[in-house]
Amino acid sequence: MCGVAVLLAALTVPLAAHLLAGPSLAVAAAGLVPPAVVPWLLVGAAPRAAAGLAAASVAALLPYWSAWEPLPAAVRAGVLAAPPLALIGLVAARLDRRARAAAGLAAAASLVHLAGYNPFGDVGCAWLCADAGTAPTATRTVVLVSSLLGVAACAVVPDRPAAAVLAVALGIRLWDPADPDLTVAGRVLAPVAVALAAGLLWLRVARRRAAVAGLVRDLSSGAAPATFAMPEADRWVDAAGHEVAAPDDATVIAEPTGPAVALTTPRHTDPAEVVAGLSAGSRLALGNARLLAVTRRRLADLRAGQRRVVAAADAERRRIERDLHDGAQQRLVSAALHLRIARSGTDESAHAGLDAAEEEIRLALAALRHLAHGLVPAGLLDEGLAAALRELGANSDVPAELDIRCPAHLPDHVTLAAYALIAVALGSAAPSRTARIVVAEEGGTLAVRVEMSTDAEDLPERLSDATDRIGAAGGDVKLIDTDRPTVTVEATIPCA
Amino acid sequence: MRVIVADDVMLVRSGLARLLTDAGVQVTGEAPDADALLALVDRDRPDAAVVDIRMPPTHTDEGLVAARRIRAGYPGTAVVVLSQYLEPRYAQRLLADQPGGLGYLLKERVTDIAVLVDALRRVSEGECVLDPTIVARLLQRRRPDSPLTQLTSREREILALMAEGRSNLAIATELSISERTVEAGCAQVFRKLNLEPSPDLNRRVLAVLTLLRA
Repeated sequence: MCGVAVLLAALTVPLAAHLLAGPSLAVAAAGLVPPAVVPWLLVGAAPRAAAGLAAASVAALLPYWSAWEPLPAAVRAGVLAAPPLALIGLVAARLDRRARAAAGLAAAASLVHLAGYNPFGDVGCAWLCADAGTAPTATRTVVLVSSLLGVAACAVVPDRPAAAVLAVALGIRLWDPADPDLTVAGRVLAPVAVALAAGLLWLRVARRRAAVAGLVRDLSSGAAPATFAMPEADRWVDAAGHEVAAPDDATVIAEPTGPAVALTTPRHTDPAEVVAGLSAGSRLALGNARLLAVTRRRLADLRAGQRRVVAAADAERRRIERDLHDGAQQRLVSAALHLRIARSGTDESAHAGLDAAEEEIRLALAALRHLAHGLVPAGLLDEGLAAALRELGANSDVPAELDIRCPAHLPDHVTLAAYALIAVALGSAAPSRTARIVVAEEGGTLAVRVEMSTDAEDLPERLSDATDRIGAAGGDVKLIDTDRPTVTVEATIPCA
Repeated sequence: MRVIVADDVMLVRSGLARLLTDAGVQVTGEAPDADALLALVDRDRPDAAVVDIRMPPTHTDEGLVAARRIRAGYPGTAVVVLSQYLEPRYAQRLLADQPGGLGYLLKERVTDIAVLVDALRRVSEGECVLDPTIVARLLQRRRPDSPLTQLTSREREILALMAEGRSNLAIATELSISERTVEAGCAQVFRKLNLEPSPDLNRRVLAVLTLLRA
């Protein structure tokens, strides 16, 4: 489309120069446009602006074809009405409502012009000049209406820079002193057209600036309407590090290594311009936001991995415990039973040896039970944290006061982490004082607090396994021991 | 005394049956799982059942569930549960509502068949028997609000032996004191645990329950 416009413009320039004794300044200026546009179009640096310039040069120069006498009168009248149609070239690639509206307005402007002002087909003023006094007024009215329609068409064209250039071109044409019939309307409309063009450009710049400012503000508050690409994987995350679907309609800013940020710009802004309008600082902030999001995701991945490791270790421990109970222990019990049976068939001289063997088995069973009995009691996950903690408190040497307000069933890893912490803390407490244990679930977070008295210097080491579990669950542990022997262990564990 | 043995390991089951038979107990049936056990109890209506706590399908507490169902459905059949679990939790669950006619022994106790036979006899008479190791654990607790704190060490010993299902005479022998002293000690224990005067057997069961809940 642009190529055709450039071709028309290029043809028009020598023609206009040939036909006009002294080409006006406007024609000379407009004639310079096509050679300037061609390289832009060729390198594709600013195709929209180039298309606007090309359409504008057509709009400004096409009417000069009317001075070429061999052309049929209808064609000569047509080219006079053609300038607004240059707009259609700008919107031809689009199918949206605004493009259709712009094309419709441009067509209306041309039709009004063609129907109301035809110096070649209506030489004797058959339509409008019955009364010679009214002819100039009617003509000016027609041109005014046509031009207003053309400017209105420019106003709705989606490609703002191109439309602005075209509006200026229409204004210059109307203002052209070489066209005496149009000078009055032109002198009114030219500033309007220029103002419109300037207004459109200003609006565009203002919107872009607002969009950029909004983006920067959102960036600093961590609420940027952006998603971030994880490096080396086709995964996208939001600012909080939660995984999201790959963006469809957002503008993707790429880095040499691949896509980095997908930005959702406000309506009525050109995403490419918003991106181009970002200052170096904003880009840095965007890069930072991405780094943060990626780090959060990595941390979440890592914690998920840790949780899997802990869960796998727990499962393995349970498996071993079950194997010990169902395998070795059963066999030992069975062996002891059969020793006892064998005993009844032997005389007393053998009893001492059999008794010793039985005692060995008894010791082995006790050792086995000790081995199988882990930190986490059997039934913790079935019966829930509250029941297990009451049991723990009841069996502890340390008198414990429990305040437990949590759902009967929490996620397994949360239950295990909370129990492990409280069990170790209570196991380290001195029996001289009542320990106070508070467990409360609120807003998706389990808060654990153990207040106790202890003289265990190695409490942090004792708590390290439980601290790891809680860390893997995305929570953290705080040990307040500035007021020893009074020590408070606090933990928060997300229940999600 | 007619008894049913339930354990999913055949060697343990048959060895146990053999030893019980040698000790003069009539073993009327052997069951490899809870369903078979309940069917046998329904058929034979035995005096007692020896039930392993871990049985198929989950190998956790099937025996416990079966024991409670037997006690609910067949009051004439007492149950001794054999357990690998030292945690008092399971004993508490077993004995929480109606401890009479129920016993909870650690599995390794079966090698001392006299203890098992004694426990079977006691539970079938409506008493409650708790494994000495678990009793010792329960008595280790030092809860300030527990009624057990008011007991003297002698009274604690008496309570422990009572919980193991020993008779006054056995307690007297064990502690090398007169049976009369044991009776006086028992009365003190009942009083300190706020157990209203009632038949001696019932109060002994309630004392064990207090110990479990303390």
